[in-house]
Amino acid sequence: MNKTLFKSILCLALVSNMIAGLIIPALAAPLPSVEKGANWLVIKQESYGGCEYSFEGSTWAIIGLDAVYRNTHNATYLQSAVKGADRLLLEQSGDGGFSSEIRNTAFGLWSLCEVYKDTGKAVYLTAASRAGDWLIGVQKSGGSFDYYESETAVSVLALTKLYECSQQDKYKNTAIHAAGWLVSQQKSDGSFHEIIDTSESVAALVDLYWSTSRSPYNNSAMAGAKWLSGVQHFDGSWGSITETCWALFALSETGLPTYAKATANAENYLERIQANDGSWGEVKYTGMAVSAIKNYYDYAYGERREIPEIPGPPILLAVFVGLLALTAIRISSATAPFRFEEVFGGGEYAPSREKPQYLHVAIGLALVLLLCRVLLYTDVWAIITSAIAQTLSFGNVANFVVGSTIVLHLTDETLMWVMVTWQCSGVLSLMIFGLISVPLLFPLRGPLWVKVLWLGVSCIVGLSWNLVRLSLTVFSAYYFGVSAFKFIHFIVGPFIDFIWMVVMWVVGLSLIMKTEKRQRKELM
Amino acid sequence: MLIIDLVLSLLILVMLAYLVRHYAFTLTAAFYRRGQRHFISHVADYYPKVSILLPARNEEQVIERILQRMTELTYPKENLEVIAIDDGSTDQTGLITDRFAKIYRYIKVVHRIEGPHGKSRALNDGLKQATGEVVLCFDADYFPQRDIVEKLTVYFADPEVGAVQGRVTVLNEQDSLVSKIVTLERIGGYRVDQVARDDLRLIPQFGGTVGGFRRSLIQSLGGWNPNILAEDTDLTFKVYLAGYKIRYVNDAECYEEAVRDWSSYWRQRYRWARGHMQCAFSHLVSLIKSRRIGFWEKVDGTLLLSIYFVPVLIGLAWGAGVLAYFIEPPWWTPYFWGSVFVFSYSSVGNFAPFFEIGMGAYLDKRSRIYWLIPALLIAFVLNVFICTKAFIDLALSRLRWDRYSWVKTVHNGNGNHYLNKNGKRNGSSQLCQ
Repeated sequence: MNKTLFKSILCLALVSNMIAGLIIPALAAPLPSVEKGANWLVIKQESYGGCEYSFEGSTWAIIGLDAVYRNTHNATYLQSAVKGADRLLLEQSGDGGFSSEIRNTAFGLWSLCEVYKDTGKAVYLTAASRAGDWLIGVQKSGGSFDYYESETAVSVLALTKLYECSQQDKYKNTAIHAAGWLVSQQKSDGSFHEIIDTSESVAALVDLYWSTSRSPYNNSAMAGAKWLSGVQHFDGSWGSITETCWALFALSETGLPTYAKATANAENYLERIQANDGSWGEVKYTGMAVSAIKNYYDYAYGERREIPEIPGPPILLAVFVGLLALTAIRISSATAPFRFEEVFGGGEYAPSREKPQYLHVAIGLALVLLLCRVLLYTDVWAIITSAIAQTLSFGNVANFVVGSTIVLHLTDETLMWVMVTWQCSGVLSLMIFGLISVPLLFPLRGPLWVKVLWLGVSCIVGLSWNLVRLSLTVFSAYYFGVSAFKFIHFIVGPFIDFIWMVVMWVVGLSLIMKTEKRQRKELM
Repeated sequence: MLIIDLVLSLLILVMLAYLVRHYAFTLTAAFYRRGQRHFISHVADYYPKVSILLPARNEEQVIERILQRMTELTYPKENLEVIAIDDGSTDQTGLITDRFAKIYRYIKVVHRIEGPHGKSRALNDGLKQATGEVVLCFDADYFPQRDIVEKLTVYFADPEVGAVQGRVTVLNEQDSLVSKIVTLERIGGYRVDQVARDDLRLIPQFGGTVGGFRRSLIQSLGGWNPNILAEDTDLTFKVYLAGYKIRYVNDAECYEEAVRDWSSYWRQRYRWARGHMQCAFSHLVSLIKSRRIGFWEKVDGTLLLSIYFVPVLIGLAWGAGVLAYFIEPPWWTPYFWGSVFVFSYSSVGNFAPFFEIGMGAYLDKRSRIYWLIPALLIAFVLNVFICTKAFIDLALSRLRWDRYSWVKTVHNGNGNHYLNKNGKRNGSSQLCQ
């Protein structure tokens, strides 16, 4: 290929890579499927003259529209939600309930709270509080609402939302009491009867956990979530639209990367079955789907993640390789402008250059890539997670593990989730080490087995070092708080990694030099 | 937000450029077989008249050994002129040089008694006395090979070459941890960096000593600039801007006496850092605008001129990191994290990463010195502080129009011990007192 053309393509690739690195995160924010659904809801509301005939459908529409408004700041969605909420106010009974039904009251309460969060108008909070008081009044002594898991779960969810808005302990206490009953109904496999019951329960328990920071029902919620992920269908759904939306809503609410694949599949499924007009057939389903997908995006890219996703390294790697390629072209295209021997003749001295062992390099790189691929499996992350959890237990730091996530209570009673993702698996440092060391060390003279042995030992050292570093980081979080965790993880971590990399590099060079010397002696 | 994104991305790109540069240099030095030919000098029939300048100020401990070595050079003496410049010494330096001048007719002495002192001024006075077509210079504490003049001057046969630079190796490596670290830095800098730059037709740097110029060129450039601390870097870029090239001759080796303690290390590196930054401000724009310099030379020159700013950036990154401990880390934390990663691996050592220095040691067939490479982390941390201080001081001095007074590195002649030992082993007479 023409060199100029090749250079141009490389430059173009580099520039586009950089631009993509800057623009892609910005492009990720808009949610076209959600907006299309929300637009459909607004149009539908107009045709119904304010609110739909299905009460639950109306409330889901309000919840969904509010959620989309928070992302887009499009006033149309808020106006539509407010319109719906105003209609709800008219439907509220004198005792505070909605149609004197627990489920309707819970959904009415939840949607009023959402509108209150965006408008700040006291009228919605007052109405919600009245609904909350009605719910407290109908709670059974055991904590349940009508002895049904579903009713109890949505009531817990609604009361938790109300507690977040009003900060009144009575709602929180009622919710915790109800959650206690809910947990007692959980089956040994983690489910709460059916998919919808389980989804609602998981969402309620997790939400309560987030709001109170120390709910005793985490394990129950995690077990429920695990059951849910296990019964997901191959196409990403959980059966009906309602079940799928609820399950997606609940699993997203956990915010755990363990369920990243399951939630992504569910979101894909919902987008696949979305109609061309943006709806999911009915107002209720559309409202649910919009809320669930919005929740998925909130927790997939939102603020609750303790360890942020790092878009940098892949881009950096691409740029690094690109620049390297450019340099290689530069080296290969260099020509000598002046030749001494042509002018003077005589002897010349070419500095001793080694003939590179290309096969060794190929084998070394293949081994590094293979190991990196293995480290990208989620099962490996789970092993790393359990190893760290064991270390923490040895250090008397109470924790429990869900998939590749360690959950622990800090000494100040706040909650912390540490997720072991690909960045924490050691793959990054091994890639850097491999990229620096293998192309430099493997081409040198010396037997392949020495180099492979060195690479193997280096990888073991690197991975062990990574485990120790991660454990120390979590320990620092436990004893010194989240700031210490962030400082050590982001700032000190890379410097600590430097130590093993340099030491292993030195060991490699020394080994090769010694082997070469030994071989030279034998020849003599 | 987009502006910060762009700035951070640019910063990371710059750091990556340094990393790739060092990586490419290492590969080139180790495996690149199509590099520039290195000529065995004594085969060529090219012996121009050479003037060697030896500036010295209070160097009684070391001046004798280099003068002795001047008498042992294999270069034809009829084409050789050695000019020792006694820069107002208050010790025996002047007497020693006079003694040699009486015995050897090709050795001259210039005594600078009055006026401001300094290496650049001394060299300029020596240049006025020089009659050679080529002017080489050595520091008083250096100890060159016997055939170094041939090896260096033969490159001037190429009309494009305006200056040459030989290799500096440390004589007193065993003295202390500091001298060992300096040895490693020298290995990385010369055995890999300079070789690769020469092979790739980039900008090999003139190091201020163990090298020289065409006399006509250095005179047209106005000699050594006494107002710049890094006069060597200054001249490097002046040579290129004048349309000439510099060649690096790895085969032309010369011993130096390295600093032995951290305070000397600090002072020496501080001077280099500040001087280098001065040069960056003076030459960066001219370098980019120049039509005489090729694209890749410009890229390399820009990176070379800016290299002492890298530790300053690292210092800033650390500052931001510590700040993040007290406040909620901002949204750009991941980018920051990525950049720190790159900083860490591209700048350890004296501006050469560990793999470059390791490869240099391998190419030199060293076996035990590898184990000191992790100790370069100390020098790396120290350089962050040195360069940051130099940068702040330079900025303040520009505001106040202050001038930095040269702090001379003291040479106590410890290297003589190694040379005497070597001389005894070879059965020759003692070289020095």
